[in-house]
Amino acid sequence: MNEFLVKLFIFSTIFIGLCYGVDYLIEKGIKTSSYREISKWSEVIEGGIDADILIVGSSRALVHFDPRIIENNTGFTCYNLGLDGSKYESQKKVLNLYLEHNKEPKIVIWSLDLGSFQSIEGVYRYEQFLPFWDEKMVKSILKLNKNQDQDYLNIPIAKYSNNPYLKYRGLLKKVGVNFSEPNLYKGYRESNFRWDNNFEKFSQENAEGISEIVSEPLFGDFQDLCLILKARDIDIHWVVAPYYQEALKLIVNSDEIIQKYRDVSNRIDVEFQDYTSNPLSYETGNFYNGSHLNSRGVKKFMEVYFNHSFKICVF
Amino acid sequence: MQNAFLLLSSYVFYGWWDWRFLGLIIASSAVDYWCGIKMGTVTPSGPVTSTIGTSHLDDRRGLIHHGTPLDKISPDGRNELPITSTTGEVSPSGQVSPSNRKLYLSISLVFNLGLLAFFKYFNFFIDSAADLIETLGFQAHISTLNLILPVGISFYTFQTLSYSIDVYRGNLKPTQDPIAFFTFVAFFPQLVAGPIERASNLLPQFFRKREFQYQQGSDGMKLILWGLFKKMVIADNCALVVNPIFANYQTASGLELIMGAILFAFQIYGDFSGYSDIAIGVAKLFGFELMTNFRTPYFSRDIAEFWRRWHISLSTWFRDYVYIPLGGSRVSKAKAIRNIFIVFLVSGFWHGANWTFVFWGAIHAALFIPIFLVGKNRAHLHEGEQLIPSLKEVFQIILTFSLVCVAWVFFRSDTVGEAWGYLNGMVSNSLLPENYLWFGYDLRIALILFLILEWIGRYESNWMVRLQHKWFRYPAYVFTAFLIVFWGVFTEAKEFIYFQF
Repeated sequence: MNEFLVKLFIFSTIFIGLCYGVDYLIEKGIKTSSYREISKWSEVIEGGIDADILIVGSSRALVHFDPRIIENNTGFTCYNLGLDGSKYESQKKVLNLYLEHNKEPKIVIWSLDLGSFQSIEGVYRYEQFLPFWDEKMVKSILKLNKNQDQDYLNIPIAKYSNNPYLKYRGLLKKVGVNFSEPNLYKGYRESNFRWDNNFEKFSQENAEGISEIVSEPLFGDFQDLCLILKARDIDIHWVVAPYYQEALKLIVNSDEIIQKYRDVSNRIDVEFQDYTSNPLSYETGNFYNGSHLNSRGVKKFMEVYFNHSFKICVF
Repeated sequence: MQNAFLLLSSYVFYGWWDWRFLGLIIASSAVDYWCGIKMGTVTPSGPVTSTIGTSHLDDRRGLIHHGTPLDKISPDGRNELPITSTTGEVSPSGQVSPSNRKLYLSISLVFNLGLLAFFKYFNFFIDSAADLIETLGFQAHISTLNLILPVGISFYTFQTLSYSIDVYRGNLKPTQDPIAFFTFVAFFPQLVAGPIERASNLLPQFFRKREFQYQQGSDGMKLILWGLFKKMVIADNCALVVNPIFANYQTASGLELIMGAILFAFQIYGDFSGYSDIAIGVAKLFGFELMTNFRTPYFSRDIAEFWRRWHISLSTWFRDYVYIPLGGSRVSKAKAIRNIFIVFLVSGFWHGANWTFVFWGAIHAALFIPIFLVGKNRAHLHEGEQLIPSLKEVFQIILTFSLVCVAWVFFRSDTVGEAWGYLNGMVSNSLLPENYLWFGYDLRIALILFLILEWIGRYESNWMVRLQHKWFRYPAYVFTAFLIVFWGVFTEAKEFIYFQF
């Protein structure tokens, strides 16, 4: 029995040591990767971002607000905190993560979507947070995956089980192999894509239109958050970036939602800009799909926003 | 004391899933324990005296296997050897009368099969009856019950039935030790998905004091490790590919459908044999030896060999308690074919209340019968030891595996119609569309490694026991464990497939 236990102990020690060692290498490697928005979370958690303007929102924030243009136009420093596939709940948590580690911004531009306040379960591409699993706020973000048993995330290496390629990327990155991944600039992802024609298929499948839901508790929480930020002398701007017009028409209650945003922004006194009917939203050349501008569209949008509306608001 | 602790642990283990069903397993054990005693032997004055095969046991414990050879069992299942002692109702000659023995066997059969029929097949029969009535042009307003299938019921009822039948046949002397018997039925490592143990193998092990043996514990750990690899690396990764293919078989390409069927074969093998390995390994840690349940079945050279290597505990159960009592092969060809069909159909039906399982069994019967008719069903009884198979063997293995994969499509599909649709799609859908689903390098490498290691260990309990030198052995164990963590699926709890049976 003793011999068995001794050998079992030696085996377990070597095995656990190996697992933690490899996990360490993966983590170190993957944190320098631009896979999804991992490099952004590395920067955010590392701290020291001194941004005057902070962009918050979903993928429509991530790909629509280019800090280079913003910085050139305003003279302010800027950081884009957009999280692909996110809704308000995870955006708020990501903002908290940012504020925990970095200096408070002067201005928060919150990029609103028509579906921002829909309650959904889960964080899209949550594996991008896994290298930061030790962070309390990251745990809180991943808690949004309500149906996920998260115990396994404490097991070294196994936590990457959702996306096996992270393991290989991490290890290869650690030994100096680089991947062709889109680099983020201050959290912004440039999208040099052409119109992908997926919209036509989508519109055929949803010919009767779709209705977006605004969860009142979530929208109420958002208003409270904005008031708290305002109380900390942070200027809040709500912006609805352009949608391709035909895509917008498919959302049967878009006018109602925009009006709701406008009314509430007036009531709590935050800036609100709506670009859903801007002329650039009529041209597919400015988009790569129904709800995302490509880099050409972004340049036009930034020009409109920062040369006109934003200046009027801030300066 | 050891048995009492094991019994308590086993009930806690089972009750963890749903404590309400503990009553079923206790009732099943109690009925068979009682029937066993009633069918067994005592002297007219009452106390048990054991004779054959029990010299190393005390009288209170009773038992043991008489070692009756199969040719001494008559087609009706009765042991043709003389019964030497009796328990319970005693005839003037000191024996329980045959009619009473039959009565108690019937009680055991009715109770256990009744439990199975109610929990597992009630809704199926109701639905099938309703379908039949509607096919005949009548309106059927029959409602089904919202029943939960108790985990492991198919396994423990068969295990406890084997005890009753063996006692009835006179192959076993009934045990007088309720703790040992109840532990035998509820023994946690193999309670929920087998191996379906015979009382003659497992029950005696509860009567000796068990002490930890290094070699047994070490072998157990190796089996657990390899079982985990099979389950978490092979089966669960295959499931990630297989599930979407079967869910969308109408739109899948021919290649995807073929791949889905092949990967399901690996999924179910990894899943079930992995569980069996873990169960056998855990039992070894407690000092028990369970029967081998799988012996690299996908290296079989014909269907008959496949069935000697796949789910051995179930196929031998059906052989001993259904096929041989029906007359086995020692009857006319027509009756033998009937017997084969019955065994395969019942075996299929055992897996679940669905026509897909019946079809699965029927396909295997249809594949087995031609081999039986030409007298080749025992062609590969003796295994070679050669590392490199001949071309002929490779061809036979691939052919057998392909046929097994076709049958698995029925096993995996929700309805017979879906299975036909799936098989039809394999040959009629475009073979390689523009966007096809393929599976990752992880799984490809893991499968190749798995096949190589299975081939190396095909005549042993697993490949690890072949590693002799410690400089190979220990790194191999650590590396296997590491691969489980590196390649295993942890994202969602994946139950063992056979838990549903």
